[in-house]
Amino acid sequence: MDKTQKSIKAVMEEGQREVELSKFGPFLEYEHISRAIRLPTGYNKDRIVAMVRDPWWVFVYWEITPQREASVLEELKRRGLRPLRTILRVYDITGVRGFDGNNANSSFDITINNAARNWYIDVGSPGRTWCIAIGILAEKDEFYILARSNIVNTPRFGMSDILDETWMLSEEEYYRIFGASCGLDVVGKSSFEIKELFKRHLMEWISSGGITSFASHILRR
Amino acid sequence: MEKGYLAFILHAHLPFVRHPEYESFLEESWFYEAITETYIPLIKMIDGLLEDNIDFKITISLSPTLMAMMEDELLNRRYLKKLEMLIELSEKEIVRTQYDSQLNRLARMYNNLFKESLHIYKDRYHSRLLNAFRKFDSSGKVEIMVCAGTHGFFPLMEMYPQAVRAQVKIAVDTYRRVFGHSPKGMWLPECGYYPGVDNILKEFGIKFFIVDTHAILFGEPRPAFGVYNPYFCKSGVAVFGRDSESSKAVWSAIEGYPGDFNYREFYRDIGYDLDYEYIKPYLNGDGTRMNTGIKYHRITGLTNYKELYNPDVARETAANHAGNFMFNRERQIEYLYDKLKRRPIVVAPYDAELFGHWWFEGIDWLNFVIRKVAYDQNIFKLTTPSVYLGLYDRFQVITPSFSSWGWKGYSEVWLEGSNDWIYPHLHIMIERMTELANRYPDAKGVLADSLNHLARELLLAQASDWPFMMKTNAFSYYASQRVKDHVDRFNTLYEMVKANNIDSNWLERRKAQYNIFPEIDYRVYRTV
Repeated sequence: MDKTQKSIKAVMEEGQREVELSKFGPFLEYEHISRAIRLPTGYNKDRIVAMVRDPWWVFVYWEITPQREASVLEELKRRGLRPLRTILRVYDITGVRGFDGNNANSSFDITINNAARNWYIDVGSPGRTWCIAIGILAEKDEFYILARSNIVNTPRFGMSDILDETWMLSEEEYYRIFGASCGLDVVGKSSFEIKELFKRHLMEWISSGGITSFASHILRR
Repeated sequence: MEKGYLAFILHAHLPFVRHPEYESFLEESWFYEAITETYIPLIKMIDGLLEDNIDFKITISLSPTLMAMMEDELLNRRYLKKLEMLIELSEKEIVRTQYDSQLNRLARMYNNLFKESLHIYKDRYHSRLLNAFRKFDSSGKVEIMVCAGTHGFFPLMEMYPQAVRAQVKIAVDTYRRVFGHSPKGMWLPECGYYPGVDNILKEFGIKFFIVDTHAILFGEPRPAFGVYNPYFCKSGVAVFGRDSESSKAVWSAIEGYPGDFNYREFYRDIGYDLDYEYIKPYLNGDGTRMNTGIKYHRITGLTNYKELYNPDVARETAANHAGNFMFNRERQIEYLYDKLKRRPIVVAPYDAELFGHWWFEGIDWLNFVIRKVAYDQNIFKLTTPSVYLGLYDRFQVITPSFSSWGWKGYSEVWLEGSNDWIYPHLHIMIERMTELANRYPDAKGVLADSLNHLARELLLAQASDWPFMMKTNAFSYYASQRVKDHVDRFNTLYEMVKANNIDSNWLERRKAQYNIFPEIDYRVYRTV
């Protein structure tokens, strides 16, 4: 970025905080935002971190130190097991208390290539609880964990089945008021029509990118 | 007796952009443009409503970064110079267009607008726009909400409650310093909500916040009033959901009012259209072509063919759109009153910068709506969230659903291929900040200064604006540099603190460069 670099004199003349600045003498210069900056590629940690993108997708990134990997490979060697590949094991732990690695409802594996440092996981089901481990899959289906993630919840997509007895409506009224909330034209329509409209609205939302696609950010370019 | 209420909520925010290291800096112009095109016209509108004693209510959210820029000596001095230059340019334009009466009239319109802006800015509010908002706050007709410290997106901070707490605390502290009392409402950046964030809001005395429609509709248990009533979270904090219909009327580029062919065209600006040598003194210091704010054309149609703007026709159109908006709200509120057996509230939140900056006639439209609502009907009234909460004793309790008002409704805007690289760094910063805050519960002197400044660098790095710009590929270089700069300088200072070797001259320079949040207290990051 080609910015006009300012002279030290001009900086001094800015007047802002004159008193404080004056104690640094005429050599004061601020750091330039456009300078070359190189960030660390890692922080010497063994970790995998999970973040929810939306009801169907979870993002994970990880950092595994060479020492950690070497010690796991050493362990495999000691047991006479050949390592097969590095995988992510995605555990569905919805409703599980005290997840210990063996009590998940179900799990599935994703093979990752060694250059990857993060992954978008299609977990496929809203309203569930997830934990993701990165590890080495060895012979005899043995899984050696390098790191295990924090626990995340994908949000429900659709209306809750749990009703509040103090504030109860008929099914028809729920759809009518939900339809109105989404900006659907509900006046004069039958409850069946409204229910269909609402369902179609949610389906379109999934496929097209949202009732909120008209929403924010059209102005900030 | 009215049958329901409409709550306009304008969210005003810009990221903290202030570069004393350059004579002139392109990205600072976001702030200058927003002052001339949105904040001053909005202030002028509210002043008019107050002078005319109109019965109205409006809610405005001010982000702490925007408040910091509004207070800043350097930025205000630079703005004043910009505005004076703009007046000079509009005077040259009057001369240049003297043989074309239609164009000349437009040049005079801008000249008058800018001169009036100067008067409002300099004479009425003494170069500090917060003076206007303080006045409005005490009028009882304008409710000022606060927004998170640097507009950090909460759902992607969920695993670090102390980071959310820091964003909330610095916001509340800034608001208290500026307004002299605590805020009632907090605008969640990008309406980003995750279940449990309300517990942190409660710690700091926040009474309500706003979410997108589906946060309510997918809430649990099933909400009985759609988005037309607030609910209480289990924490006791109230939540209001956005109404889709009134949002769409304004937000949608296709179906919404701002796309009307009579309105001013945003993309035709003399900064791009006129002879380079003529316009160059009024561009950014490096001579890059940019918007000046002087635009002579109307949208006209869907092609590049553009006719000259006619302010009378545009104003007439804004009045018609205001009438249409009011009529639709009357019908909507009558229908909802009948269905809900309770007076509904229609919550209509918008980015403030949509009005005036993007939609030139938007402030006129808003002014027309507010005045018509006061005089031309009696179905509904304007309200604010906290006024509405006083109407009823009981509200349903629900847990809203994780959501945002961004594209697709969740976190994807801020978490995708272009910007996901920032999170490993941001997370390490939070962990390091927490580590030091736990280790030094009672730091003094230069150590305390260092820890407070580390918190500042972390907060600045967390602005949702940076990943947003990376995703939209607008100013993405600048956004990346900002994140990298804050990460890099955080890490430098972290190492200095760890080595007990703080370069206090360097620290003072850095503090003077990013001089936001004088009241910051790093101890908010403590977890023990």
